[in-house]
Amino acid sequence: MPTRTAEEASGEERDLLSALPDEILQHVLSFLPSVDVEYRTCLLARRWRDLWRFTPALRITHDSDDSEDTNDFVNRLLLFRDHTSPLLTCEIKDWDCFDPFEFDIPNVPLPCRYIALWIRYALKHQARVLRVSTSKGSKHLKLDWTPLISQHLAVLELGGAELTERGLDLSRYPALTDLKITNCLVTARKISSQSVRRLVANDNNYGQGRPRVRISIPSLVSLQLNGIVGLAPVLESMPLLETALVAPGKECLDRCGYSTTGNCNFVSCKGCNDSPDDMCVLLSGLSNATDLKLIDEPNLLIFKRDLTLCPTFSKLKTLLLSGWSVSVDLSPVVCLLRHSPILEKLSFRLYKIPEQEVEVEGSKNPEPRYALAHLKVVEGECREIEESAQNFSNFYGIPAGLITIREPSGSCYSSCRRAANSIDKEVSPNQHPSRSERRRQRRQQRRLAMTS
Amino acid sequence: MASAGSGDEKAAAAAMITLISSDNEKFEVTEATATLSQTIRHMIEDGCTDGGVPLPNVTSKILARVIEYCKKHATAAAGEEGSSSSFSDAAFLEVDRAFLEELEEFDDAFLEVDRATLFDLILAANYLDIKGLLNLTCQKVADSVKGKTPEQIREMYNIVNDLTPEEEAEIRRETQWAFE
Repeated sequence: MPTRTAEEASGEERDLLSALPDEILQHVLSFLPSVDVEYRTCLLARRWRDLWRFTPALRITHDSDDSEDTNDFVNRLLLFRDHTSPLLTCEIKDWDCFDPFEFDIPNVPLPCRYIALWIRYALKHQARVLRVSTSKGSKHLKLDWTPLISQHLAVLELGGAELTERGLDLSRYPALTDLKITNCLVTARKISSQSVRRLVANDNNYGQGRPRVRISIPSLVSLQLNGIVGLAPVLESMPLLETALVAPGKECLDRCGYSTTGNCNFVSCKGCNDSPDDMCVLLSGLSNATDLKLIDEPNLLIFKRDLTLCPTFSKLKTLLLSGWSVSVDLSPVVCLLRHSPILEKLSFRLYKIPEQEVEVEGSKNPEPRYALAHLKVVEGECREIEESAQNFSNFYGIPAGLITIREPSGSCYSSCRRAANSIDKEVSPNQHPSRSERRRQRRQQRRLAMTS
Repeated sequence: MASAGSGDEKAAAAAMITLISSDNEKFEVTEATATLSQTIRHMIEDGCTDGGVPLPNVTSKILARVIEYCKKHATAAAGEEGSSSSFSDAAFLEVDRAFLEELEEFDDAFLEVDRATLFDLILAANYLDIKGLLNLTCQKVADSVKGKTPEQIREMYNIVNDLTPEEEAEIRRETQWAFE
């Protein structure tokens, strides 16, 4: 960088933008909506005139007032851009997949008819990042064509799409590492990949049909399964898994309002009657995780039923339980702890189900005490159930000194305290999940979430 | 900077790297911090960092800022192995929101610089091949022109319009319907 005189240093007079080399200027342009690049920056000066033709990104937001305008724009852009330049990022956002036939407007073509073509173009031009989403309230975008094979695609994000067997053939993307599907309708019976390392699957509909959808991604390192509509998918073995958050949520059908064990005998109960599968649906696949967050709900059966076939969490060090209804039946939680031999840190939020609504089942007899030799930190938050927290402690055989119970507050897991206790003395200091250690873990997770 | 603590502690036993700015100022940084730069990472791998790494394209003022960024992001980027792309939303785990917010606050504050510094940071990030910093700074410039008319952008960046009226009219004709 040349040295500057004082008055130049402010940069107010010089044209700093045009001084950037083409390659960086293209990088700047790749962050802009394609409309801005083509219609505005090309008019700045002669040098800018053709830059849009080489910009390595397509960023389109659907204008629902005039779909054909957007279609014309993108088609024209892709037709006239330089075909030897890669298109590294392709983002097609907020598409309204309105179907004119449904509204008896027969002579209007489907507004989203070109999307498949654009995606093909992007994959042909070395796209690393592909994001496609529909607008709120739109019909699902049906991805029902066989995707092109791409050696480059690393990040795939689909929002509001219908994922069919054909459209979801991830084996065609051997370099894919990050997969995010939200608000999708999964009609494929299997989501499988050998390369995806991080999966975020939020608020997807897995249908009510059997067999359940299977998620078969042995390469997975981190998983977020938040919000299940329909029946929970089966998680197959994930030997490399480190962190997982599983929160089936209110629309998961694996629930029962009458019984806590999944055999209420009511004909109308879908959760109980529709569950002849003697298999572990979620927990077996999670058994290799080191950091697990399981968010239960009142009436939800899936975790409790899985725990009757409980796998061993042989690597689990950090466990967060939220929403588990311990006031009725502690045995699922006990079972989970018994099968986590090297657990070091347990965080929990407990909830009490109004007892009149629930038939109390299961044993309340304390189990024999068992060893949690590695457990160092227990912290919890109890809502309206002080005595259950005491139960919790007595029941699990955890020394009371180890437990920190706090007043309920909004979000507080990250500000935990380490309780002083006798076990502390037996372990070396560097084994404690200290503040810096937690920060390191959070940074790692931040890395997973970092934008491209 | 408190937040750089863990990264520094961890690498304390590891090698320190000396970076030398264009005006000959020396900066001692941990390897974890330095290797956020792919350029320096390759130099370390090739074993040519003895006696310091001269960076003739980067002034001490800019290098200090770059190191500040790298320290903060060092652990987050560790092991990223070049694949910097991931999910677009940061809300991966609610529990980590506080930390993410802190990092975002840092980035926002980091970008509070005059325009000349911002562009120097872009050039330095490009030269040192620090993907996160390059994205952050280029995004900032992109945001500044987003939705603006060509006239507004020209005024903002002192861009001299060297298009003839005929050329300009031709470009406008080609894209006419966008202005209707």
